[in-house]
Amino acid sequence: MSKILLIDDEPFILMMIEDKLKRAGLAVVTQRESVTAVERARRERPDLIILDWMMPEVSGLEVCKALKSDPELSHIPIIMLTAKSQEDEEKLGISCGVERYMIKPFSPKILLEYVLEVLEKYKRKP
Amino acid sequence: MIALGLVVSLLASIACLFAFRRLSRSVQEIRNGIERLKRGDFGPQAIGAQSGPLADEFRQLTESLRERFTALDWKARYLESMPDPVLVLDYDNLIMDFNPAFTALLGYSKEDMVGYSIFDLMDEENGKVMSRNLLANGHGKLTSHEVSLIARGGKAVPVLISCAPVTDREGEVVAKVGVLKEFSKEVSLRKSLRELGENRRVIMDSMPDILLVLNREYEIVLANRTACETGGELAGKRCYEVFHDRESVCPGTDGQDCPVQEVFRQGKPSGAVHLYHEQGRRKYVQISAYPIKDEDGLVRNAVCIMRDITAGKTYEDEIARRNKELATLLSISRKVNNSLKGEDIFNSALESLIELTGMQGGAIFPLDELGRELACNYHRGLSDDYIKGMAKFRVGEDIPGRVAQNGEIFTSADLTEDSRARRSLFIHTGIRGCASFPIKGKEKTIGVFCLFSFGRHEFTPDEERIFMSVGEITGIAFDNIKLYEKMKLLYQQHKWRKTEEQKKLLELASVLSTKLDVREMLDTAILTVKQFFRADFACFLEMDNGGNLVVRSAPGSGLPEGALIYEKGDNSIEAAAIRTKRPVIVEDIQSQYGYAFARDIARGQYKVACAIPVYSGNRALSALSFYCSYFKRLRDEDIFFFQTMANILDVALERAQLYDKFIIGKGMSETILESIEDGIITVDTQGRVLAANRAAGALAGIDPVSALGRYFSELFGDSEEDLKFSYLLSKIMEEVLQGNHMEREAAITGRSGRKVPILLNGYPARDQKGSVAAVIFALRDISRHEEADSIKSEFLRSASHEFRTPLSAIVGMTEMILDREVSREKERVYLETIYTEGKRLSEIVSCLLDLDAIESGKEVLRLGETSLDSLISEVLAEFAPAAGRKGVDLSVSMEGDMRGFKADAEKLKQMLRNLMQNSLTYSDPGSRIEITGERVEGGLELVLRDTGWGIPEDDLKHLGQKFYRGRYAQKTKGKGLGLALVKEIVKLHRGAIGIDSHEGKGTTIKIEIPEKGTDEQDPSD
Repeated sequence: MSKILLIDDEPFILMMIEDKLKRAGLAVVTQRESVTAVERARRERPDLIILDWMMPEVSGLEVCKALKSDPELSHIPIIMLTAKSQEDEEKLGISCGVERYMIKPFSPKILLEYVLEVLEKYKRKP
Repeated sequence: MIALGLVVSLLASIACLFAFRRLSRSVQEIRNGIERLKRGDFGPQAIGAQSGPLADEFRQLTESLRERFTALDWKARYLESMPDPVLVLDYDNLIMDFNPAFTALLGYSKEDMVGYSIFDLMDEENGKVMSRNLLANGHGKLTSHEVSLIARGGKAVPVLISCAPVTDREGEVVAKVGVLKEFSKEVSLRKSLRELGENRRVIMDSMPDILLVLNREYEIVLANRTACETGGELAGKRCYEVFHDRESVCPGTDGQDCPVQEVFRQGKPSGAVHLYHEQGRRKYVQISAYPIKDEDGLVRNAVCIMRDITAGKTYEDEIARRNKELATLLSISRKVNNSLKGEDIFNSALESLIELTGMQGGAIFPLDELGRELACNYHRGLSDDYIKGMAKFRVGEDIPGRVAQNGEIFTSADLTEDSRARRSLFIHTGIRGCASFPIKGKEKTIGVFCLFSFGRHEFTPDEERIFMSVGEITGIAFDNIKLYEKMKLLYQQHKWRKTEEQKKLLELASVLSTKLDVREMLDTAILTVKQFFRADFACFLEMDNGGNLVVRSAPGSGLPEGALIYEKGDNSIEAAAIRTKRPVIVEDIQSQYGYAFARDIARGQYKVACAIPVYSGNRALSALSFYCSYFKRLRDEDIFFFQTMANILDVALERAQLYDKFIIGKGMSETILESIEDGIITVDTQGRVLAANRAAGALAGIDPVSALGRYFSELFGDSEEDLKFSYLLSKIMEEVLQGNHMEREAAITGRSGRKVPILLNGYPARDQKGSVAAVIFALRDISRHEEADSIKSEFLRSASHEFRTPLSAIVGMTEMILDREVSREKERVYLETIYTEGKRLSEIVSCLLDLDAIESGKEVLRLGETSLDSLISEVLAEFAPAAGRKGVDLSVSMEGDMRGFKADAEKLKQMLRNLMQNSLTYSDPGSRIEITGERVEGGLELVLRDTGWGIPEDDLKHLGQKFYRGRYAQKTKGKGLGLALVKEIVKLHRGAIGIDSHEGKGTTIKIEIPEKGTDEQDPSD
């Protein structure tokens, strides 16, 4: 069973995505504090991370960079889920190694599709 | 016996029989041999092994036959293999045989042609040629015939047939052998040669030049038509006889050898131009000769072409001569123009003429002042002794005298043969060719030129023409010199006067330009006028609106400024000057009755008066006048000078008036100008800076004080940016001078070196008459506008976040509920979230609307009695849980009576909430937030101090700007509206807000809210 790590400071977003993914048979762990997000990822070793950008303390972008620069974690695909809707912002996100960039508000259905798609893609990779 | 006889006879018979058998066998053999021979078999087997005299004879015969036959066979083979066609004819020209080459040439086989006549191979024409040839040469001779034979197929093949007779031993011709040579090539070659020959003839004949071909004996071998036309039948005659009328080879003329002779001598082409005199006319002939060489390279013949180039040569000579003439005339006139010494001019003219004509000498005889005597003052080519003898002539005497008298040119090719010169002194000097012509001044003859040669000299009409024109040029020059001498004197006087005037004018102008006081200026001008014209009285009168003349200035006269001196309609000289716009000069006041003089002026008993209009723009509204008590003749230059003074005065006055306006305006407007944030630069119509305020200085990076009086274009640097800006200013100025307003956006490099975007406006400043007197440039720093734009887009980013997050709950959760993916219990949680987030959205919206309402002045205070301590406590309580969660310590202290404060409680709460929210958001756990409230005289002082992150310096200046979230926007949530709203609320309460923040230390915000009395004020005032 694939494990997904959700990082967002909004509890209701976490709840909603967790519900959606669990119904699809995925294992989900959630993380509200961005400061400890990387540590959590190291501990949980998820198959995929869904990451918010605008969070207090450490921004999602910084978390993403930290993940990608950690040799043990850099392989984990990341879906950036954010309210940042400007084109240049999206480009910035993508340039940090994000697999998918998804803009809020979003459809949980489509998010699930993305998750499955990315998981499938990465399953084939060693 | 019989028996014996029988035996003998038998034996004999037998023997005979035997012998006969042998014989018959031999005969048989021979017969066989002959048969073989007939077949051409000459082998030894022909006779076999037979012996005997007959066989031997036969053998010998066979052998000899074989030899002959072999020889014939060889010959036949040789014939067969010959590359040239060969045919054998019998006596009657019937074809007996021919070789394969013949077949190859004409296509016939032996079966076709043997037995036919050779004439069968020819057409009638060729047949005739052939038979004629044969008749002429006889049969026994070697002949050759050039004929065309008809080949198989009908084509005529030109051939050369060489025929040789075949004779028998007795010498009788029995046959002929013909060798054919194919001749097509030769025929066509000959044809083209012939054509070439014909063409050459045509070419030669078409030449307009004489063309001869000569042999080494100078005999004419060939001559073209032109040559024949010139010399008749030429062939065989010698060229020198025909063309040069000589009896031997020409030695050449003019030292040039005959080119034909050269060709025969050198073998190379040669050419020369020969000059002949034909019936008294010169004739130039260009002779070109070319060698014709034989195979050994020997010159057998020469081609000689003679071209008459007289016309061209004459033309060239003419041009050369004209050039020379022109050069002479040019050098004379240059001398005339450059020199102011009469002698120089004459001498150089004489030299040039001598050179031009190739004469040997000349002399100049100027006429004395009285016009009676000519005396030589310059001569060349004659010894002084000779000149002494003819140094002077009276007018009418000798040649120069006569020329001076009648003004006509005299030329003589040879004085010794000229009856006109019979008694001339010139003859005694050896002079023969002589020309004498007058030097003509504007009105009279001023001298005589003479030119001599000691040999005969034929003067051409051209030369005479040149002489006359030189005489005229030099004469006029001489006149001019005299005039110049006079003018020089006049000019020097004039110059001196001019200098004086200039000095005065300059003085006046510089004095006036330093003065700004109109009255002082007028006084100065009038004093200058009085001084310069030595006038006793001068004044400046101005026409008022009623058409009366009033005194503006009359220093020393006692006439007060503003005094009415002439009423409308009085015909004073000043009024006349103003009316007619012309100077009015009265040279004798006493006898002039047309003009009216004021009593004060009339009292002076002036003799001379002059008034001049002073313009203001196109209108003359005032006059400057002076009066003299002595008679004085006013010349044009005096009046002109007076006018110039008036002009200077006019300009100075206008300038002063303009300054007046500005000085008054400046006093009033300086403060205003300086307080304006926009940069204001005022320039006059010439672009000189009249004023620049501080803001302009700061914006444009210029010093407002030192900028005064300078051209605005000098104020800016020469970077591309500055030049662009300066250019833009001048463009705007152009437009504004037309009376229009113009606005442009531009960029300017300020003092700090920073590029500042500005809005540039140009306005016309008009004087009283409505014309543009100055241009005002207004420079507005619009960097804030631009910043505002960037803030706005920043807002859009953060606003989008603020909207999108709640919307995520609303959209996503609704979708899941609708898809029945949520359990009953969870559904409620979802709906609650949707509700909460929906509310949050609406809060943001109302916050924006609040702000907009306050800003646009729609929002008013809802004042009421408020207890401040409860208000503060209420807000604090709201934040306590959040602060607790974050580990931020909250504290509050109050001083004074907090109750009964008149304010809009809701708005104050809003304000406090926003401030609290900010402090909490931008603080780390462990920070403190302190609120102190104090009731002070006339109001409330509220201080909120936190030990949070502090505000970065860059963000400080943007504080309170709507939607600006600064550096922390990345990691915090917020609307970017909080502080903006705080500011607006404070403003609405007519309060004040102060922010003191240090990054890393914390922020202190101090707010003063004045207490609203019962006299509620309209917030809008």
